[in-house]
Formats: sequence, C-alpha cells, structure tokens
Amino acid sequence: MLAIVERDTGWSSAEPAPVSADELLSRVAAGDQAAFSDLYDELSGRVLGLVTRLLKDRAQSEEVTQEVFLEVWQQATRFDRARGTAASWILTMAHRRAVDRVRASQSSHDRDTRIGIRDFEAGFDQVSESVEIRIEHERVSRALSKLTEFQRQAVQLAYYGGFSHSEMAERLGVPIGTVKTRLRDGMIRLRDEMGVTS
Amino acid sequence: MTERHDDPALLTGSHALDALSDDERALLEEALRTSPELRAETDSLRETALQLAYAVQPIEPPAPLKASLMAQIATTPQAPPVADQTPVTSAETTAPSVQEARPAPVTDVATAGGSAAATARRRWFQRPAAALSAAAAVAVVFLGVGLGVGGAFTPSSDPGPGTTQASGGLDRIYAASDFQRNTAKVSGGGTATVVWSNELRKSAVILDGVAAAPEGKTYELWYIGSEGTGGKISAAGLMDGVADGVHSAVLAGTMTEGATIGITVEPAGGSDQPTTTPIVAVPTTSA
Repeated sequence: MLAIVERDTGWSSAEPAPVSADELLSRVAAGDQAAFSDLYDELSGRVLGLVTRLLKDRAQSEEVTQEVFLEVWQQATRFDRARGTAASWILTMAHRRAVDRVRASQSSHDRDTRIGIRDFEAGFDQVSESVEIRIEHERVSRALSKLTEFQRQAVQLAYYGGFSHSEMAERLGVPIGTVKTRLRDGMIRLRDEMGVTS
Repeated sequence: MTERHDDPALLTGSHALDALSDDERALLEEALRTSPELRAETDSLRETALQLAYAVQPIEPPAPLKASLMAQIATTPQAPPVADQTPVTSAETTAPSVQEARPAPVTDVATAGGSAAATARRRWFQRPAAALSAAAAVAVVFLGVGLGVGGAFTPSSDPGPGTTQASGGLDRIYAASDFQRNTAKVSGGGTATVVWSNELRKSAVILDGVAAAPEGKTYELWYIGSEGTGGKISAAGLMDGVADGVHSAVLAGTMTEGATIGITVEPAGGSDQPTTTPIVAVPTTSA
C-alpha cells in the first residue's frame, strides 16, 4: 500500500506518523502496553520534572512518577478527552500526588518559602532546553511578571512549593483570607495574561 | 466558619493550585454543584495552573523505572470504564487525585483515529523524500533567535480569516484547552514542531535548527486536509527569513481537524500549490 502510494506521489515514506499523546492514551485504555510505553516516553520527563520541582528529593520523585503512571494505566479507561488533553490529565494527577507527598513527608518548616521569580528561573537552562519548553517557560515567566509581588509569591509557593494556604498564612504572617484572595486574584490575572479560555 | 474567608467563591485559585485542605475542597465542591459560574472559573484556573506545569524543566527518568513500570502494568488490571458521566459515581473506585484531575469520567475513549483519514494523510505529505539542498543567504529575519512568538508573516494566497498574526497568535494556541503538538525531523536537518488547537482551528509551526532556504527561494506552509475533507491543499503563508535558530509562524487560514501541515521550498513570493517535495510534513493526529 505504502509503496504504491509512494510511486503515485513521491511524497510519502514508510515511516509511521507520530502519534499524539491523546491517541496513545486511547490505546492504553484498550489495554495496549506498547502504547503505554510510548506515552511514558513522551510524558515521563515532564512528570518527573514537575514532581521533582515540589519534592526536591530525586528518589521520592521517581517513586511518585511511577505511581502516577501506574495510575494512568489503571484509570486510562476513564479519561475524558472532552475535558482536556492527556498531558493535562497526567500532569494534574502528578501535581496532586506530589503535593500530597510533600505535605505528608515534610513539615512546612523544612520547606523553603523563599520561592520567587528567581527560583522559577533557577536551574533553567535556556541553551539546552528544547524550543517548546523554552517558549512555554518564557510565556509563563512573562505572565508571572504581571502579577503583584504578593500574588506571584503566593502562586509560586502553592504550585511549586506545595504549601497549603494555611501553611502559607503562617509562614507569611498574614491572615488566611488574604492568602486565599492573593491566590485567586493572582490566578485570575495569570489566566487573563496567558489568554487561557475554558 | 462564618467568616468571610470561608466563602467558597474565594477558594477557586487555591483549588487550582492544590492548596486546599480536604475540608475546604469539600466546601468548594459542594458550591460547584449549584454554581455554573463558579465551575467555569474553577475550570479556567485549573487550565491556567497547567501552564505552570508546562513551564517546568523536564527530567528524564532512569531506565530501570520504566522497566519496573512495564512489568507492573503487565499484571495490573485496568479500571472498568464508567458509563455514567456524573462526577459522583466515580467516587467509589477512583483515587482522590484522579477525581481532582478529571471529575467526569467518560465513554468513548476507544473511538480513536479514523484509519481512512490517517491513510490519506500518510499518502500526501507524510514525509519528505529529498533533502533540502544546502543553505544560502536569506533576507528577512522572521524572528529573533530564542523565544519566538508571532512576528512577520506573509500569506501568499487566499489568506482566509484570521491571518493577521499578532504576537498573541501562538500564545492563544498554547493556552487553548485542547492544545496539542507533534514534532518531526526536517530533511536537511533540524526539527519542525506543530502546535495546534482544533477548537481555535489554528496551528503554528516552530522550526528549530532548520537551514535558510536557498537563494531566491522561500519556505511555504501548507494545510493538507484529511481525506474526510477532500484532502484539499491550501497555501498557509510563507516563512521568510528562516536561518538556523528558532523561528515560529502561525499558519494563515483555518485548520480543519486532522489536517497535515507541510512545508516546501518555493520560489520567493510563494506558489499557489506546492511545486517541490516537502521538507517536512506533520500530521495533527488528534483523531
């Protein structure tokens, strides 16, 4: 088939088309282990990156990554494509698990609250990172810079630090209501800056 | 419990960032049942939080992790699909984190990639044969090296709606809730990443390390419709000024679902239909 086609147009080749993560997850839902392997190859780096961002400890982060992908295997049958992409689904799961783990295993006193824009940039290698990652990083960085300093600090503490807002209130010495307001206003600002529509 | 900060409407930001305690989450989820506005805000902020995840530097896990995982799944049963779509029903069997991620489990995960369309895509533009002849000089710089967003863009023919490429074009695609991407190697070196949103019916190409077009030539972008849409080939603009580094362009016109995005080398000014073998063709396989 492909050979004939190639003769017709001269534009094709025998190489299979790249498969999207969504398509892979659909196959995983049907019990396809090879698709799971491909899906893992595509997203495990992002998952481990995100989890490590919160947990710092590499061994624990790898453990959580493994848990996340096991859950992907088990729950793929219930993935609802209408509600988002496979990558979103998996990264949301990863974040939630990382937060649970960080709260269970580390007291807030052990965690560094001095997470700010510099921390966000730290360890980020502009040269070695792929184009897409650099673009995404730059977008977020730009949008974060539009927040007030308090909002930015709160959003980053929560997302990258895994702090609950009661922990944040204690650490920052502000009422808990203030933390909630900063998080909400900050996220709304971030959403509008990044043009997220949903 | 009656203080102002216990108003569930204030919890949407914290929810998106996983900053809520279990009690607070229950409070918000209760409120979500009766407030579509609150639900919309919660959804949009969760999508926003994902942008924070996308910006983190990936770390490749060590090989043994995958090996052990593959062994694990070989003996781990999968959850039965849930027919009902209400968030409540998934509660019995699903781990809390999953519900967070996806409150409404659903059905048709198996109706994936129409194979006819896939074959059509493969037939046309699947992948280039000839390598690009070596680079020559090129005039216009499309975008500075680095974090390209938007920039100059010249639709060649039949521009269609929405061709004006403000700097927000790429941002909007990245921010779309159905954002997707595919990367392919370009013959002659470098990679082409296509990002797209079926919802926005827009796509963009990001070239990395692709040599400049030969003198007097330019890169032209094409939409190739899937077989379902007749496989129509539409010019989607020129990418002038590509010269190594990183260059991006939002395609002119409207992307139909399942279209393939191709790039050819054409005489300066572009052609109405491709006249050469594509240097790359990237399907938007979302099926």
